[in-house]
Amino acid sequence: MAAGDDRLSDLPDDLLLRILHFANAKEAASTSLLSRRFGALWRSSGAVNLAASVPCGSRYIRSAALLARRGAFVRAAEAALSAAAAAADHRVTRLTVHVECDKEDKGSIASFLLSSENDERRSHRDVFDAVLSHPAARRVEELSVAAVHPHWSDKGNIVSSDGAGIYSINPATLPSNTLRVLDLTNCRSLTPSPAAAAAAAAAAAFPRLETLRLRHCTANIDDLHRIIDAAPELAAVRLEFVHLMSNIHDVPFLVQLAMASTTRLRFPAATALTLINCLTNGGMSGSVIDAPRLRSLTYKGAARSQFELTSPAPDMKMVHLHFNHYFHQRDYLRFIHNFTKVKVLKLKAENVDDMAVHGVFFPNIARLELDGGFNRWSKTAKAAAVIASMLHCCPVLCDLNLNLISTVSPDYFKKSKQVQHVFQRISQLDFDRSIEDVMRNSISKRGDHRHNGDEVSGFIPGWTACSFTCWQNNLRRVSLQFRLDENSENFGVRLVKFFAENAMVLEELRVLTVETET
Amino acid sequence: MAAAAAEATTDGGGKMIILISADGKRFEVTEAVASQSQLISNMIEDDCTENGVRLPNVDGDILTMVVDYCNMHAGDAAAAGDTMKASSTEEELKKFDAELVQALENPVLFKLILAANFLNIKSLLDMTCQRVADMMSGKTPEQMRETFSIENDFTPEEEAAIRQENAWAFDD
Repeated sequence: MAAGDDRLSDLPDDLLLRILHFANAKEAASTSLLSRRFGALWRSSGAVNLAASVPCGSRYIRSAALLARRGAFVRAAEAALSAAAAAADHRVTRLTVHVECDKEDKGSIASFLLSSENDERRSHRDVFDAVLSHPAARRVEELSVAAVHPHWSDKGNIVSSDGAGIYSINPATLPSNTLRVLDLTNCRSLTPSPAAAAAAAAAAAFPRLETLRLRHCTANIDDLHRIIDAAPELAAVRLEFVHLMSNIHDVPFLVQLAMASTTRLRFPAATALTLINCLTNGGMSGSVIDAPRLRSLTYKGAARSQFELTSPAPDMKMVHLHFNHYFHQRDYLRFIHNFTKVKVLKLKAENVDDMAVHGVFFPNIARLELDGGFNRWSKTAKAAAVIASMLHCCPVLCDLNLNLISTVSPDYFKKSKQVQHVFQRISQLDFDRSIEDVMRNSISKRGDHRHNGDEVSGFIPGWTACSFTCWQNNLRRVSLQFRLDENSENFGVRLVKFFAENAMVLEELRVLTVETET
Repeated sequence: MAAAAAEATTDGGGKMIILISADGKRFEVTEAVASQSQLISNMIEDDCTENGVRLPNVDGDILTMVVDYCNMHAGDAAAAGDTMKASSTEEELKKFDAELVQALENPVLFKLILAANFLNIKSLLDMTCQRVADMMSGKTPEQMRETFSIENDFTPEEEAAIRQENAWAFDD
């Protein structure tokens, strides 16, 4: 690369525009003052990114200071949109609105956005409405609206059942004709306003919508379906900490219970669906998901017995399941039964002991990742039985990744020594010898007196070579991650030896060991 | 990283191809990994990667970062394509991405932007441009000039006129 490429100003215009595409409106406009080179460049970035920081605390709610801040924000937003609209050659394709508060304070943000249901000043316009109704916002392709405060971190696993969300979005105000990506954080409702409802039902279509992302939102299922049904190209749907509510308020309680017991969700065009810690009707109901074109599913949450994937896609490829609550074996089996056709399965739970499968057959799985702790309470025999049960179900498995340490606390990792080994079978002799050498050093000298620390066989309780005839001739790559300490009974080392000795066509064995530093 | 045969194949990742940096460093990657670059993806389609792909305007140290990034993100492609490569979790990817751009000196960051643009790797280009945009965040024009070594070539009168025109951006 030629010398002199070390300054921002040396980048070509199209790359400066790309950078300004991501800059906040205020800073983007400030670049007009940097130099002639920058000048009016910012107006053509094709994006308006609006950010506001709301003063927090109950004394600010409906205060003059807050009103002034809101007024300034709306004026700046309109100025930024108008400036972008004035650039003849570039329309605004990306619009983001990010409102945040540095303390846990829903009230101040709601008051700032003026979308509180109890707000008496209903005649004032909602901040988002004001922004979205600007002429320059009418042809946006990528829209992201977020109201955030620190309380809603990703750390918790449960969506609050009292209803997440601060603001409402009326779908009729969205630039529906051009929208490709819609991303909402902390939205309380997607219900069309009564006046617009009739018109919206007939008119609102999202012909280009490809991606829908909701985070920390509450959504009425009918409202959500109204958008999904109007979006024939909606391929990617991601719902994270979303509370889905059925429209059941007008019927008697017992009927409500019956209706709420299963929630039906349909994603007719979705090829990728992500559901992370979502809740339906306060957690009372199970979910029946109809997604006939689905290719990949990521699910994180409870193993619910009532989770059903109807009309499974014929070429369903990848399923990633992460169960982060205690679960009942029966619920787990019913859940996992939905995915018997997949090619790639990743399964994560707190404890490897919980993952046993019986009576399920995965004829297509080529890659399997099991991720669960093997800790001091685990028994080798039990963990071995669980892994064996999984392997039995996967006759064409070529790629196995077994992670027994990911649930170990980060503190442990800080104090530990991690070693990675990669063995490739080029010559059988070298392969066996190098595994033998490395594993001998890895054997725990402390706990396992039976072996005096010198030798651990590939013997695993309940496992014999002939019990795995199904995958023996397919398994090419194995990756094992485990702990080496006195409580592990050298389970990991035994696994390494077992696979090395019994997987006939094994080409590569990767081993990552973690050990407390002494 | 150098390899003798450009046609080496592995079972999971498909055909291997060689990328050659401006200073002659060679990187062997699977087609699936390299295809994240639209430029290389097109070359693969046109069948002209046989003798390695020369990238005369990307230095070896920058290409190292690009290859690391592509290797790490190959899992995204796996979900859509047919490769069976191990994919990293979202959290791992986020952490990796943040660490990749966080520590970069400006000149290296700009070179990475140029490389991502040349190779046409949209996600890497977006991420690196976002990083520069983040560096602008909360800064006054004076602070931005300092951060990015920009010379002010406006007269005081011109500057005053611009301030007035975009007053909304400068008052607090």
